[in-house]
Amino acid sequence: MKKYILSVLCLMIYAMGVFAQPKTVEVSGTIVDSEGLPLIGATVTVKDKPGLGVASDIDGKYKIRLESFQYLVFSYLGYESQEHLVKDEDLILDVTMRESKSTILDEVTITGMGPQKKVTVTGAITTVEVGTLRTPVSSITNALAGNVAGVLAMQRSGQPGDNTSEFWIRGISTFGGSSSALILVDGFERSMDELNIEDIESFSVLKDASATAIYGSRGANGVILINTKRGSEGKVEVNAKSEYTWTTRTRTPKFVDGLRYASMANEARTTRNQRPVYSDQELMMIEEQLDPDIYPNVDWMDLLLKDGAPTYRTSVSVKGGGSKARYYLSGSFLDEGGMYHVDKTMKEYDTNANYQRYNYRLNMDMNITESTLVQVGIGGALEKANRSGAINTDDIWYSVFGYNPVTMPVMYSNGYVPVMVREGTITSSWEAIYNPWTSATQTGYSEIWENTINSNITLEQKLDFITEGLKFTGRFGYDTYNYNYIQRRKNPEMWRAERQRDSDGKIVFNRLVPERLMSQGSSASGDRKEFLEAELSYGRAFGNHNIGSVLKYTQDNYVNTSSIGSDIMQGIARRHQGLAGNFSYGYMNRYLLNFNFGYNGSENFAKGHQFGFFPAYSAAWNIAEESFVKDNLDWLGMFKIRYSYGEVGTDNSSSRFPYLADFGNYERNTGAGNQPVYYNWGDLNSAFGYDGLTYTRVSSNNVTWEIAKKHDLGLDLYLWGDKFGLTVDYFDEKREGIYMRRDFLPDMVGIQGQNPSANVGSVKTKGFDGNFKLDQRVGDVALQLRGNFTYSKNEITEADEMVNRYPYLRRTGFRVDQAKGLVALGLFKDYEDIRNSPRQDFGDQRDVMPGDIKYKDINGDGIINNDDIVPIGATTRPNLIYGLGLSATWKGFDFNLHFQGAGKSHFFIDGFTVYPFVNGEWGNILEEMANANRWILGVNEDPNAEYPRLSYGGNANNYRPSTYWLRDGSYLRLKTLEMGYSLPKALTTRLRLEKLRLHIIGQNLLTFSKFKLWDPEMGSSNGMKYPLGKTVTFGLTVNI
Amino acid sequence: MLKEIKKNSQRGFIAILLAIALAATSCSLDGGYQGAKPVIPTDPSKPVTFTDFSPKEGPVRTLVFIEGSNFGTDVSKIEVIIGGVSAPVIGSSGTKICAMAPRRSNRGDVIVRIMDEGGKVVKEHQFEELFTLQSALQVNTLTGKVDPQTNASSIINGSFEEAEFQNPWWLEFDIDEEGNKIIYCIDAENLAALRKINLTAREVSTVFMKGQAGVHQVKSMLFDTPTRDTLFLVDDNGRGNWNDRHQMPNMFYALRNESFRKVYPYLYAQCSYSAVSMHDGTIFYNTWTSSEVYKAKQVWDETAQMWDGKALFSVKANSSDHVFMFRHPEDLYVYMTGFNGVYRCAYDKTTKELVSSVLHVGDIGGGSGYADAPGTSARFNRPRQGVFVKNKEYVAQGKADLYDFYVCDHNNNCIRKVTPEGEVSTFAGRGSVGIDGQVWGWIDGEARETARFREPTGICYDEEEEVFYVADRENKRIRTISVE
Repeated sequence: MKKYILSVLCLMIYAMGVFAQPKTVEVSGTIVDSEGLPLIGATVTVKDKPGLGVASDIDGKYKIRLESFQYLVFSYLGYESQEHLVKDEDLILDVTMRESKSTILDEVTITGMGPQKKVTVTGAITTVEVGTLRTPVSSITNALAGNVAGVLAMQRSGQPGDNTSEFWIRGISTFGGSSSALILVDGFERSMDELNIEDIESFSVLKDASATAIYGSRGANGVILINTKRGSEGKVEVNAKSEYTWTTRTRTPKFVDGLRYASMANEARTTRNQRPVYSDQELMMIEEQLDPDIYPNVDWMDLLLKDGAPTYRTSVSVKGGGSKARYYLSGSFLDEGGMYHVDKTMKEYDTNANYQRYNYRLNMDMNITESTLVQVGIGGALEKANRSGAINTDDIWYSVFGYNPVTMPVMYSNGYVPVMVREGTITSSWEAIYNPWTSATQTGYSEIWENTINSNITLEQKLDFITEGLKFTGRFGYDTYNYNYIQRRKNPEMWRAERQRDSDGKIVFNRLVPERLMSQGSSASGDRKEFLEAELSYGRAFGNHNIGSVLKYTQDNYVNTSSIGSDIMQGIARRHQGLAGNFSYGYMNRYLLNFNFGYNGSENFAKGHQFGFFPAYSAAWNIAEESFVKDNLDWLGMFKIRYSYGEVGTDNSSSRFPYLADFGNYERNTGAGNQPVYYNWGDLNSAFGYDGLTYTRVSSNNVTWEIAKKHDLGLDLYLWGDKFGLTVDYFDEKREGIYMRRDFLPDMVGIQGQNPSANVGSVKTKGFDGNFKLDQRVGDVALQLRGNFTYSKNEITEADEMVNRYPYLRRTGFRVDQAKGLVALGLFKDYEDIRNSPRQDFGDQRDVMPGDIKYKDINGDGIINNDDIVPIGATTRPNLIYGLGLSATWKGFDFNLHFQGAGKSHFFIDGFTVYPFVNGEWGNILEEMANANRWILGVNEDPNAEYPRLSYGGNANNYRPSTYWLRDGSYLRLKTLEMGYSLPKALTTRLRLEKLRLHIIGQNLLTFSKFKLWDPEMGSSNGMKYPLGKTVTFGLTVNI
Repeated sequence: MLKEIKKNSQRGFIAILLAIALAATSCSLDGGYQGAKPVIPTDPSKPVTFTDFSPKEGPVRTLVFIEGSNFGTDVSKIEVIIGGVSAPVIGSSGTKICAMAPRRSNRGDVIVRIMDEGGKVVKEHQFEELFTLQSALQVNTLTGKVDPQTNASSIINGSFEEAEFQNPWWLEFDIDEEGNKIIYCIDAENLAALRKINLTAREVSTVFMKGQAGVHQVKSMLFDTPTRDTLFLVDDNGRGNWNDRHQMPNMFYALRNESFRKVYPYLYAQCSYSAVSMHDGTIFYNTWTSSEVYKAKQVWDETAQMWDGKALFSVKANSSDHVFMFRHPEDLYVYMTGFNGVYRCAYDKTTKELVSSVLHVGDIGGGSGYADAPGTSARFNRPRQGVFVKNKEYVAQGKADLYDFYVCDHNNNCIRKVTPEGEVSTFAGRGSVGIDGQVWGWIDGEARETARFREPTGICYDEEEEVFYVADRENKRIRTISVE
């Protein structure tokens, strides 16, 4: 019986299935725009059926089969989407799409509290259109300079894996702890260096106190908010992009050849009454290469560097979803090739400086109930970098700058590998420095892996059932990072030949470095971050009154997970805790008020000093919304004046737990290093000592928050709809209580050099930043002109330092990291001039000769010494960054031009390539310098020459920081030139593609600057860095 | 259908990617180090021509450049013969050959042979003009083999070609009963072995090893002046305190009739570095503490039943250093090298005692440096063994003091000359100025212009042949300085 019941049940279920099978219907029609022209490639999808959809063809026609009683969604970029209900019969449905009308009032800014209409924002926030941040290089940080108002940036190296830019929001305003901005990716503090650029949905920079208050203490140096892309309802979208980049160098220093080098070495010696190094005969041997072992002529730079290196980048993303769940999935691969030549005989491994990165990301949004949204995100990066074995890359540059062309060949003719020994160099008294070719190819290799995983989950619960407009958001994030390093090192036996051959004509070799067989070393480190946020927000409009309020609790936890050794402080997690709130009131988008606060705790301070309350106020008045303006000046889209004032604290001190004291054995410096001092309980000559205890760190009990008081006055202006837009901000910040060591306490305090720290310093920063854009259509051509600038100037108003009778010798009153040096008055004309000038007290005064640098006696005491060092120029970091861009689109073509510049930057040049022969044979001579207007005895005795009389083995008078060696770091460069072509819709539709675009991007193609020796942006004093890249990229983007 | 779209587009996409990748990899990346420059042989289809050579005169080791065409660049296929002696060929650019004027040639005819790849002589040319060899003061290497792989050497006896030295430190010149010219050499500071360099037989042997002799740290040696039958060895026995003076000998002696093979204690005293034996047989020695100079065997210590020395004076008051003493051949005075200078002590022949010292040349404060200058303006850096050499010009001028003093300036890597008037000049070494500023090395050649030493410490002189012998300590070789 049971069997029967079962079969009947089965049958019934089957029948029900048949009954429930919905009917499929076919819908077709034409999609046209408001002028009746067919729209090619408009998408037709079925609501909540992800993956099902078609596109209209060249005539705007479409045909789709779907189940009955479903909504069809018609969408096209730039047009408003439409939904049509399809019942249970076939249908011809012609659709007329209407252009979407977005006005400036709809423009959205991403703030700390989420997306907010730009018109209601009262703080200083720059939202960057992600499209303008296009950069073919690996890191988005390199696109910031000149693209983002409020950000000052510089790139110091072009080495793959290490070519990110440093940047500061509104410049440096402290000299105590960190001055870097807080970077939030999907709401949590993460690095953006290894982020896949294609994944970025929005990019905002929060600049003033009111905008950053919600982040409390961590936002004192500004905040960068990056949100990654999420899925959206509709048809599946597949985006694929592939780029091939050829990287060359913006500026590579050029050195003189062997003959020139040798002649100049002779000049340097003979004009200072020393014996020449090379006889005429020897010069001839260098020139004709009669003895390349003893008299070589090597172009090390050419030997080390290729003309260029390739970079590949590919990324693919898929997004889609329905109204219940949506997804975004992406993956990308980047391979940056190194610029060095490799030894082709070694096929087993690569010694080049390569960098590879794999990125992946999955973002899921799920509506669990009508009012509950869960968002899950997982993203990560796997990075792999390769380097040559023995030494780091800067050492290769050190060696390529140091190895002169005539000292030794690449390899001796008998196969011996040459090596040079420097006395008293970087680390020890005697050091063998491998030549660039040996360094780059013969020393093994090292590999670096880095692995980052970011995961976050967000729960958004609308609490409308309690009261309308109330919402709870909880966020949890968990990030891990680990770093692995393995070095496989070796080196060949190395030799140096004697200066002359022996009497049998044979070379005499001295072996300086024995062979080292392959050996291995490794290291690893890692960290873990956990974040938790709970937020209660309320926003509701009552007629013309808008009220919003947010209360947010945050805590985070950062801990090193490996190689922390026995250091207990390293093992303790770094924790923050904070409560932040916001209250805003708006009346008709016209009058806007905002109050923010942060209440933060820091583990770094003693009890009673741990918590700080930091309020911020802001207000805005949108004059354009006033009825008299609205009625009379309708071309005024927005005219908003903003003002904010707030305080932000930071606990970024260089040491941990400064309020704790530390004890250790008493040691005293006896001249031969620190020696333990003990109490002797034995007898003379039979010591029996007990160590004495002493403070090794004195506690600084009252250390507390460094506080920034920030003012910001801003103007947002939009004219003629959103054709012209302008935002300008003036900012004024005062940092107080900057954490620093008290180094000038009197000895009678009795703390024996274990000086405590305190909140003593103070810095004032002022400046302005802004950006504008102008859109204009000329016929079929859509033009956009945009520009931005950031200028910031700081001044130390208080620092822990000695009182000095010369105020210019102090830090107070000058910029943070102000360049200081002597003031040069040109070169001495003759001995008469030297006799009639103040005594120059550097080195032996008898060595000062005509053609040496003459300095200004600032304090008028008749002696030039360190008391005459004054602030000159500005700082190495630029204080002004600007950018100007123009883009145009015409039919399928698009064109983009972006200039970027920096100013108010000065740096000293020094080192063994700039100061000729300062270290004897160690150091090349720059061609630029050799050809410049330099002082030559009897040939060019110009007192205003660019370079002084040569000297051999250093010159204490000439080679010191002065205006003579100060260079202007300002530059203007064609940062980006992009041309793209998108295939006509008709063609792509035939290829069954949504879009296909080909593009060429040139980066750093032109650089204009007064400084010619190397790329001024690096701010390098000696140029010994992997040069910045000049790149040309070919790319292809396909959307399906 | 959507699947199909994807499939098709993927295919297209991949094809385009491949095209890009191909375009990229086809870029040539040649460059970098391509190995040594290949040598080109002479071109047999073209004539080999000779135009001239230069310079036409110069000392041994002068680089001679031969000009012409089609020489090829393979130096192994080029032969240059000057005065019948094959000259080392250093390089060839095809139009210029660089060769080095050889030693031991006494004619000046210059012959060049160019060979083809198979080694067959293609062209031989003799220049009409002659190369005139000029005489010059030259530094050469006498003996001392060093392993080129490790720069190491050991105590190995044998012919001058095979013999090795550890670190030759101190030299004494001698002529034995059979008329052989001998140099005795303390090998390594503190004596690892006493070596015997037979200049006549061109052979190196070992007299005794340290363990055989039972010495501690021998710093110097000297022959007794009146008879030259006794060889004294002066020992830094490490006993600096007066109270410890009888613990260990500070001087030993060995006898000629025993071929200096057996070593006997001579004196028990504090640590010493050198001694002098005056013509009258008086012996002086010095010690570390306060650089005191003692007259040997003057005070009888009743309790110890031993002779003690008589303290005379400090070379430099309240200062201690390794001081080395050298007797003027006519007993006019004794020079003392130490405190980076040369001190002079007059010898009172009546009291048979040295009279307190005055600084002759060098820094009064004992500072080191390198400066050729008169008297106290001159600078030395650890002067070591010196030797008196009679100057024929002084004889002609009828001067009272006929001897110049040649001293090894250890850390300045050269031999300095000190005249009786206190003029200091560099006699040999520190040549071949290079861009590295280095002054030490192993380079033979013209004494001042070319030659280099590496920490020379010992020197002696053969008056008959007018040759200096130098213990070139860090080069582990015995060098000669002579006019060639």
